[in-house]
Amino acid sequence: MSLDTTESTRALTSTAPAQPRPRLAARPRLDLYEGPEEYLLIADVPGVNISTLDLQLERGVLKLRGEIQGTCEERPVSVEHRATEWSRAVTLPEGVDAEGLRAELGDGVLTVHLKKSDQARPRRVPIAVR
Amino acid sequence: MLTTLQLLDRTLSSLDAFDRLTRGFDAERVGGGAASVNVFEGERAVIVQLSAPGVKKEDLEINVEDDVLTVSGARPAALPEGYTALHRERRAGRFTRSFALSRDLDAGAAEARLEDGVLTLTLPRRVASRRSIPVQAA
Repeated sequence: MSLDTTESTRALTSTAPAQPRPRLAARPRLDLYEGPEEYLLIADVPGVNISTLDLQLERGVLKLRGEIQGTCEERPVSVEHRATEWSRAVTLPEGVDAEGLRAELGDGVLTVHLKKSDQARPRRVPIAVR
Repeated sequence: MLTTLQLLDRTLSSLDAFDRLTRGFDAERVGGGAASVNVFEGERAVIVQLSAPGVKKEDLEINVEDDVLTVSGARPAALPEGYTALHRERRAGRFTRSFALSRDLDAGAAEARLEDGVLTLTLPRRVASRRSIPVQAA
């Protein structure tokens, strides 16, 4: 989680909308599923489009970051979400093939397919009958 | 100045109170949950932005009745077939948010756009019908 507390506190206490918009990161909610061939990571990132989405895999940690687009320039009168970006680091299960990573983004939902490495895949062991 | 759009649902006020206590500390709350709403006031329109990640156009319903605007929708509880859940944070199910509209908003001319999991409603203000009456000299 890359939340800069100093920066976010300033953003929240200032009354007038600052120009340019201060950065304020929020953690997206996410699910992790396991299938026989792959893991599936699904994260809610409303307001993010493909051009501002950044995914990085480094030493078993997947970092996702996406800027929230389309914020309104008018005077805010009621604010429940004020983040300017989604950002989160996820430690992946062991045995993920870093090369076999595939991601989709649609309707503000990010889906990352994490292929299991050959060692991590379940294998049927043949038993010879004597 | 009167806010032209009032949020009706109770959850908001309790959220707000909680929010004030936790400001700057809880990064997740900063982001808002599913169906969290931001309201903006412009000179010509009031703009409502509702987070609706994973919600399809056909699963959204927007109604205006007796000056109350209601947005409801559903998020599918999609456990991908053949997969086991290891960790779940995303919530599924139905949501409803309601807003009282002031008389100066023209709900009939409202526009809705769903993009990247965000629903944006634009509620234009009625154009004030001002007419100057010429005074004729006797």
